[in-house]
Parts: sequence; structure tokens; C-alpha cells
Amino acid sequence: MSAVRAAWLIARKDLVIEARSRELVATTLFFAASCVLVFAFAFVRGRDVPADAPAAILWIAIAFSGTLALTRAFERERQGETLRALLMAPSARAGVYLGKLLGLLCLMFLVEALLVPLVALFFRAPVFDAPGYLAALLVAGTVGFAAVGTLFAAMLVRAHSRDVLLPVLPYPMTVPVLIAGVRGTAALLAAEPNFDVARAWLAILVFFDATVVLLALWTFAPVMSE
Amino acid sequence: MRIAQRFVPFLLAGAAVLLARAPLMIEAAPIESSMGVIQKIFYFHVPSAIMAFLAAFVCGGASAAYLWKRGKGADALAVAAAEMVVLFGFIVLFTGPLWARKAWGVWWEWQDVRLTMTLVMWMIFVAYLLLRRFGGPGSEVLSAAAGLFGAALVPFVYVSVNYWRTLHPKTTVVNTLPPDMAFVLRWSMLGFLLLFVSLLIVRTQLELARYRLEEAYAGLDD
Amino acid sequence: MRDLTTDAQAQTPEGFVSGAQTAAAETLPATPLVYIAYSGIWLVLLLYVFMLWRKLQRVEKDLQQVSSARPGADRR
Repeated sequence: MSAVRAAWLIARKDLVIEARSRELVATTLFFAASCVLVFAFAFVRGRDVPADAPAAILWIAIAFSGTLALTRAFERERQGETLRALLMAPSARAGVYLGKLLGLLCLMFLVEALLVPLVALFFRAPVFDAPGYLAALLVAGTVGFAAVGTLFAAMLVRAHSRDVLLPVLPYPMTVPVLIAGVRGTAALLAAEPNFDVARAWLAILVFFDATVVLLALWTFAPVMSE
Repeated sequence: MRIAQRFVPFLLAGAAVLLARAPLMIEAAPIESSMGVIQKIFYFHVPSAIMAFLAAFVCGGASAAYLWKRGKGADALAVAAAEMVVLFGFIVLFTGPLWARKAWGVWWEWQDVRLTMTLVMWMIFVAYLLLRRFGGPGSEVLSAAAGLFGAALVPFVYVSVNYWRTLHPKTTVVNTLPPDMAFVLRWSMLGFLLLFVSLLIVRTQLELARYRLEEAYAGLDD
Repeated sequence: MRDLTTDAQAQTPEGFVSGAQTAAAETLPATPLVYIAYSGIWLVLLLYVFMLWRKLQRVEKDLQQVSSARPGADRR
């Protein structure tokens, strides 16, 4: 079984389960929306919105919802012992990582599809002025975040204190994603959008993604084989 | 004390270098013109920062070695190096704001590359130690992955914060230092390097001794 | 360093960057901060060395106990 085929099978399995139960989707979407709402209460003051608030809130909501989705996504594997079964085939191990990553990405893109209009609505942010750049930033940032998160979630499936460690461990490492995402988005949403700045942050994100995915593919097999 | 005895001399040498010099440094070093007395913190602040980053790379390397070869020595070195990052990083984060308060008027400045980067790196390795402590059995492998990732991502933290602006004195300050100050800095650097290496060795030996103890206990149960 | 000095010289003779904070900065003397910094560093380092020392002693003691309870057990 090749890695690509394994990836496709796993991603499809996750998505099919999700399509039927809609458990993850519903809870994560609701959580994301609540996040934005809480921030709206915290930051919006009448007509005033602090300058970079919409960008920051968007990415914080993505990070929090992403962590929630991660925890739940691997819970399923843990309970079903399916992870061990999946890892039996050595050639497919990288595929397991990719498959879980793909599944998580689909979910997160869905969440972002909701978040972006919400943020636009509550914070009067001009998100549709540069949709191409914004989409690129979101994709690159989400891939980076999800790549780190998926690796750690898989690693921690059988560890103690998993619930506490999973949020804690990847956060410092995803700081570059958050910085780049927020600053890039802020540059786009500003009164005079600065596309050069956004492009630069996008470049950093792409490099980050490449590094993380490569590293994760290298380390996934050694880490998961015990 | 068989193990530590060999390395106590190094420890003492490092400490003695620092101890003998520190009071003299504080009094005798020329006062830097734009920042005043507070700049003297830098004689310990800068070497600590360098040791912290050095330790991060040692941890990353040792983690990679452990992931592929599973040698106990590599794992022991990785843990020891992670503790060094937290130790020296703490010193940097403690002295940094003290310096910043006088030099820039604020205790903390997010847009300063080095301070922010050190904080994030510090947190990465605190998370590493948390994983070791609370991860349960098999956490050596997990933390090796965490250590490798952490060390590899530190440059990205630097790049991303650096693309903001930076208030931190630029690195060229070391080359343009008057000879008196440069000498004191190098002396301090040497002392910290000795300290770092000896602490790293002792801590690694401690970890290896713990492994032997575990195996001894296991042997006892037979 | 040059950015800092030109900024500083443009603002106040003492060389502090932030004008709004000059008053607060002036009343906070520098020398105690330097002493705090150095004593803090020494404290942290000594504490760590002490902790290492104690742990090492404990492990050594345990190793000796095990090897006396069953000679050769601590050798693989």
C-alpha cells in the first residue's frame, strides 16, 4: 500500500464519518463563532474597532478551533485502536500522517469559510477587497498550523496527560504561523492595503509549511513505531 | 561521587572565572555613553543568550540522533540540553527587562526580535520538559520529536519577529566595542561557556545514572 | 546601536528613548537594577547546581544500595 493511497483512504474515511455524524463540524463551527463573539464583546466599542483587531481575532479563532478539532480528530482513533492497525503497514506510515492532515485541513477550511464573513460582519473588516491574497494567507497559515498539530496529536495519542499536553506543546512552535498570519492579514485589511508586506509574510509561511511538512514526514515513522 | 568528581574541576574553573571577574567588571568597565550604568548587565546577558541558543541546537541534534538510533546517550544529552535552554533562557528573560526598563523606558517590547524569540524558544523547551515529566512511558521518543521540531523552528521565529522592527542593539555592537569592554565580554563568554559545558555534562551523567538505576531495579526483580 | 543613540539624542540628554516615560525612568535608579540582575543570575545558577548535586547524590546512593543488595545487578 503506497503512502498516497493510504493518505487518500484515511482522509476519505474521516470525511465520510464526518459527513454522516457532523459531530466535529458542528461543534467546531459553533466554537469558532463563539470565539469571535467573545472577542467582539471585548474589543468593539460602539463604532470603534482597534486597528488590527479583526486580523488578530480571525487567527486566534482559527488557532483555538484548530486545537479543538485536533483533539477530537484523534480521539476517534484512540478509542477505536484503529491507529495501531493503520500503522502496521510500514510503507503507508507517511500516508497516515498525510491523510489525517488532509482531513483536518478540510475541516479547518470549512471553519474559515464561516469565520471570515463573521469577522467581516462584526468588525466591519474589508475582507473581500483582496480575496486572492487573503485566501493564500489562510491556506498557507492553516497548513502550517495543521501540520504541526497533526504530528503532535498523533504522537500524543497514547501518552498520559494527553488532553493537557496537546494544546500546550504545539503552541510555541506555531508562533511563526500566527505572527505571519496576523501581520499579513492586517496588512491586507488596513486602510491602505500593503500587498508587498502581505506577500513577504506569505513567503515566510510557505517556507514554514515546507519545512514542517518535510520534517513531519521524516519523523512520523520513527516516532510512531514503538 | 565518582561520576561528578571528574567534572567538578570544570565547574569550579568556570565559576571561579565568573566570580573573580564579576565585581571587578561591574566597577571597572567603562560606562557606556548612551545607556549608562544599566548596560553593564550585558556582560552576563549576552553570553547567557548565546548559551541558550547553543543548547537549543544541541537538543535538536541529540533529538534527531535519538529518533534514528535510539541511543540512551543521545536522549540523556537532549534532556540535559533542554534544561540548559530553560536555565540560560530564564537568565536572559530575567535580565532583559531590567536592561530594557532603563534603556528603552519599557519593561518589555514585543517588536524586539531577540527578546520575543528567546521567550518563544524558552516556551518551546519548557513544553519539552513538561512532555518529559507528564508524558508517561515512551515520552523519550515523543520529546525527541518535540526537541527536533523546536530547534528547527527557532530560525523561523527569528525571521518572523525580525520582519517587524527591532529596537534591540544590533549585533555589530560587539565589533565596535571599545577594547576594555570587549575583553570583559570575552572573559565572561568564556566563563559561561565553561559553565554551560560542565553543567551539560553533569546533567547528562545524571540522566545516564538514572537509566542505570532503572535497569538495576529491573534486574533486581528477576 | 546607532539607531538607538540617534533616537535617544534627539529626545533627551540622558539617552532614554520614550519621552512619555522619561519621568518614570529618571526616578528609577539604574545601579540597583544591575545588582538585582547579577544577584538574580547567581542565585538561579547556584540553585540549579545545588539541585543537580542533590539528585546526583541520591542516584549514587540508590545505585550503591542496589549493587550491595545484589552484587553485579547494576552491571548490564
